[in-house]
Amino acid sequence: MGEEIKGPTPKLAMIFQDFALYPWLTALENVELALIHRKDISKEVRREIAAKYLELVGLGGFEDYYPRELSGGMKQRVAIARALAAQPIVLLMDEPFANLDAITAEGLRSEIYNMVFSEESTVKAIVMVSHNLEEVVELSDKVIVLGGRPASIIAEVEIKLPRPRNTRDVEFQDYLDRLYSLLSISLRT
Amino acid sequence: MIVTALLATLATFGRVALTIVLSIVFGWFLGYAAAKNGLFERIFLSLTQTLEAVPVITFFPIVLIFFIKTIGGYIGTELAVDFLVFTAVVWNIWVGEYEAIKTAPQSLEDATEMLNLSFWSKFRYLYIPVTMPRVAGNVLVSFADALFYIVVSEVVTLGTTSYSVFGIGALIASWTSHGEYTYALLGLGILIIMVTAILFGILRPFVNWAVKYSYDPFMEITRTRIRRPIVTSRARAFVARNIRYIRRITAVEDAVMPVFVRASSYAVRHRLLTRPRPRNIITMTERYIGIGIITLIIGWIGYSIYASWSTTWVPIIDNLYRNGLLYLYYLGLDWLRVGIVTAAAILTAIPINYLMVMHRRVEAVLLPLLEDLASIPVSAYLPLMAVPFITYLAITLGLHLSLELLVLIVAYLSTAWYVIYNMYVGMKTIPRSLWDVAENLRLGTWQKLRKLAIPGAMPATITGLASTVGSTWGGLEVAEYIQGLNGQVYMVHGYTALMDYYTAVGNIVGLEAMSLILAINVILLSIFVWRRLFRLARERYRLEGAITL
Repeated sequence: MGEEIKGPTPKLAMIFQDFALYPWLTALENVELALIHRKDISKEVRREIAAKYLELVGLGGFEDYYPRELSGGMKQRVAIARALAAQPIVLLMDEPFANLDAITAEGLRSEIYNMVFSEESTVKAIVMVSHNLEEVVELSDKVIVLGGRPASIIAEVEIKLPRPRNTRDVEFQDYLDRLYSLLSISLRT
Repeated sequence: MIVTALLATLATFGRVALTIVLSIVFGWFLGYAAAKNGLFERIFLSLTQTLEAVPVITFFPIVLIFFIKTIGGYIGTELAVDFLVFTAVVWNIWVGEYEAIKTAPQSLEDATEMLNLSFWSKFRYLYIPVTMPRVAGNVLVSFADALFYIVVSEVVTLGTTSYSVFGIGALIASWTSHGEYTYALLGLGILIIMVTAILFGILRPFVNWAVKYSYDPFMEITRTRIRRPIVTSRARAFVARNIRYIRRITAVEDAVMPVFVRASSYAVRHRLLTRPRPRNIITMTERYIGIGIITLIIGWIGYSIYASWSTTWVPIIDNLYRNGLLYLYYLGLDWLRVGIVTAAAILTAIPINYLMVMHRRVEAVLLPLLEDLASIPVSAYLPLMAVPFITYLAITLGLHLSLELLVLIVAYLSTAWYVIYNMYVGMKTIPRSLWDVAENLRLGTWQKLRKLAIPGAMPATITGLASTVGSTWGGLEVAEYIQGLNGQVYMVHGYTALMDYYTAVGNIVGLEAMSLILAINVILLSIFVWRRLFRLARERYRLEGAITL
């Protein structure tokens, strides 16, 4: 903490739009990848930790499945487990729900908060990029609106809603409207 | 001398160009017929898939005898050479064209129906354009293959008579055997310059043009590379911006982009990723016609075996009975060599490709170089290369070991490029995000190789193996038996060496027996090894869910 970050580090874990799972490794092996750079733990311990994180994301029993045998939502859960296993402080998410169908995405969204900020997790903050404003309002504490070319910060919006958030709340809709109008202004200018 | 060498090179290139163009044109119609008709499709596929992995050159003596016997003279030899080159280049082009037509987007086919296009218009606006990227992918490999085979087949000794056609291969061989090394070197130099000129002047622009016909986003994918963190400095940013600008104007990027890779990566990816469409249904009438044709063919083969039983088959069987074990032993020896060379090629390809994929600069220098090297036929510089092995090294290492070394090196040189390329395509098409994960999780070099680079490159490497093994056999064929150096013959124990020897002494029965064994070997291999390996590559290692087409 407090040091300058110069290159990729496991302390900043990334979740990709296309999941980025290694197709020739099983779910468990994919999660184990996150621990390979740690010389202080044995192979057995590594497997145990990986299994624990798979359990955490609700994939206990799917350890030996290859990515191609998992559904989109399950793949993204494996990716989340892998990111968490690296014990990051910050999680970067690049449109993590973009490649999922609407219903799966909604389910995963409502769970991800509890998964990422559970007791086992070391994550202190998440930076998420998204074009889906409903998703943004549902998950974020602070929204930074980017626009223009080259992109620059147009506005910062703090979302002060209690969790879990309900998309049908009037306040939720107010936030949504505000973000939409901010974006449409940025498109016009 | 320069003029002679130049003309000879042009003659050789003329043969290559003719056979390649013929293959492409015939392929459009055959590929179309196969894609549209179930019966023809089955015949076409089993034939091409088997012949694709055949080391054609090993059957050359038989082909030569056939042409010289039936036609004779210079024309007979010329036709034999052209036929050989044709069989070396044609199969992958045909398979590519068939697969492209078969997987042409349904919506485009529907549109041609809707617009009521004539047969020729459909070809002009749909079927020919969809094959272009695959043709481009194969044409460079075919060019290299064709040069390799043509250079050796331009001069062949059968019994006491030597048959040759006018070409650069024949010329270099004759100069070397007369000890005129300066001329031979000169000829080789001219060949190298012309190969480079054709590669950069004709083939690269052609491929660049042809890939525009693909819908595939592979061009983006081959462009992705790991970006190193950019040091922010004003001067550097300024330089970078201007270099980008200059590049855009001069389109240097197009020239630097490895077209070989782009084209062949398209071919590999097309094979691995395009969902195969089911084979066409055979109607009842077609089934009867098919059964009729097969019965006729079997009847014809049976009759010709029966008719020539005592004159041809009895001697062959007798020969097999007496020498069969020796043939099998030699076959085993050659397969051992193929195994060693393939392993060596894969082992060297891994670090080279890893370096190229990780470092932009290494890639920029090495790729065009490899591309050129791949197209210069080993067979052309073999006579020169052999000189130290039969003089200095033969004395220091002993002739036996020295020749063995030469064989392995030549086989390696005729294989390695293709293995490197296939693997490069595989590694390069690993999605960027998988590399990012590896960086993010701080995997070491070894881990990155083991967990990402090697498994990611596997499908392309395995898919290419069938044809690279064909090239290895070609290398063995030319190097196991070297004729005409100082009037001497040098050979090692090996299957192709024995075939060459039989050719030279005119033992046609032995040659026929050996060709028969080889044919059986090739068919078994195609059924039991290549098809299975290919399926494995497709299923197990497919980057499913990682690449979206």
